[in-house]
Amino acid sequence: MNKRKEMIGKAMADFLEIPKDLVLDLPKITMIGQNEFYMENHKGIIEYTSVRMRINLSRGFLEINGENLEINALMPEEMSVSGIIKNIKFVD
Amino acid sequence: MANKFFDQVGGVIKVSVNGQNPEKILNLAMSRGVYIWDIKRVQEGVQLKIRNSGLEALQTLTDEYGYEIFVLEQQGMPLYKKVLKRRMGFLGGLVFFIMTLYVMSSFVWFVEVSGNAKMDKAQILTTAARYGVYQGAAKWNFSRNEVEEAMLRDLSELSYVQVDIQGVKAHINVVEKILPDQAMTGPCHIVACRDGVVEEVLVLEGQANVEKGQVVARGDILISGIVFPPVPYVLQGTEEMEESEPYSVRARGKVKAKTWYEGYGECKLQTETKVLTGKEAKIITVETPWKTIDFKGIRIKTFNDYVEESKMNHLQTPLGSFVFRSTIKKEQNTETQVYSPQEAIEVARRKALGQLHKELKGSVKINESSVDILSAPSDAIIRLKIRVEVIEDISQAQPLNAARIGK
Repeated sequence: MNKRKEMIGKAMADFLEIPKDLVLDLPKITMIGQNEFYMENHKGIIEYTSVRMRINLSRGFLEINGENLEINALMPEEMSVSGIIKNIKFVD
Repeated sequence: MANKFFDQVGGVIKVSVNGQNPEKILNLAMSRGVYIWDIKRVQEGVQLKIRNSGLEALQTLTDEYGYEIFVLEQQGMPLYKKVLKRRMGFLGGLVFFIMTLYVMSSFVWFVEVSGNAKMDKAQILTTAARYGVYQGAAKWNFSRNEVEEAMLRDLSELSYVQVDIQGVKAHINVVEKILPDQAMTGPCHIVACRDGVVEEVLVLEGQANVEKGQVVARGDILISGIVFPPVPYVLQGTEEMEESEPYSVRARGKVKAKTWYEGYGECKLQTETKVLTGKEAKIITVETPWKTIDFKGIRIKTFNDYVEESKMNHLQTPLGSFVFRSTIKKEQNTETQVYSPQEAIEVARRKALGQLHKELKGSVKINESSVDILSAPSDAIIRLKIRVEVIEDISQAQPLNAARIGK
């Protein structure tokens, strides 16, 4: 059921040329170099240490590995992380 | 991110939240609308920044879920409020200073007048004072436009008044009316205002009474305002024409004449002059209604012989009058100068000429001069008289009695 709803949403977004992050509640990630990470549409923090961060998404979660990770700002819809980011991984 | 200025106004607190899984607190704070930022993981928990207003909400959360919270640092206005409470004297002084500055700058302390050539400055100042612009007047008690209008109304000699307030200085700029000369309109003669020998006669209107080379005395009619019409040419045999009556006009013209002036000059053969040595001492004193304060130079040794130049500034205030006085003492020496008779004559002649120039106001050309030495050769002083010849306009209008001519 859920998958079907998602399919329809995706088709609608494609057809109407609406940004998918709005229709499908997908995360929008911006990175500036290796040091700044900016994300919209997150669903909270699962784990936070200075070397590893897991951020909850509407489907699955995002894992960030790095050094000296700091959360510069935390708001219900968006967040910003700084530090040395080594890798980002989507986990279903 | 949020505006840093409003963060500073509201106050920022850095706290440390200690406990297992501090992410839970972060998520809860976020969902309850507590704005948090600069989150840093430390050994025992997280350090984060919140606004002053969010501290209570965060405390409720930590209490509820069994976390410990410590305030590490405070920033912003609420912190300064505490600091300022401790330093009330400083704050009071600051407020007093600003208030004093404001109050003192809302009065007129200096009034300046410019643009007046014939009019008395005091008269302008009194008129301005009558409408509220005087030393010590509060700026809110007068309106510039009203003062300008009232001054123009009162002083009929002025054609324009501008009152310019620059800080504590009121600048009154006036422009005087240029009134036309009260010209004689009725019939008149041109008479001589000095004795002299006529050099040039230019008649614009009227009938010339003198010609070049004629000697005239003061009061002689040079150009007559009574004109006798020329006798018309009459052919023989025709009946005689009526003799036309003389008529009167306002005589106009210029009569230049050679006139003489005398000047006097003298010079001592041995003169003592005071010469400044260049050494000087400056003394500045301020007289207040309570005390006279010497600022500078009062301990300087005075000179044996000196001239004093002093400048004073009066300031009338509601508290009394303040006087700023700066005096410069300049040392001088006496130098004796000995002239030879020839030199003394030259000096005296120059003095006499200078005096004559002043008398003639430099408006005419001095043509020729002769020198008469009045003093005896044995005198210690040379006195001389100088006689100069100038060519000047000696014409002067003099009204004539019109009734007399009619007959």
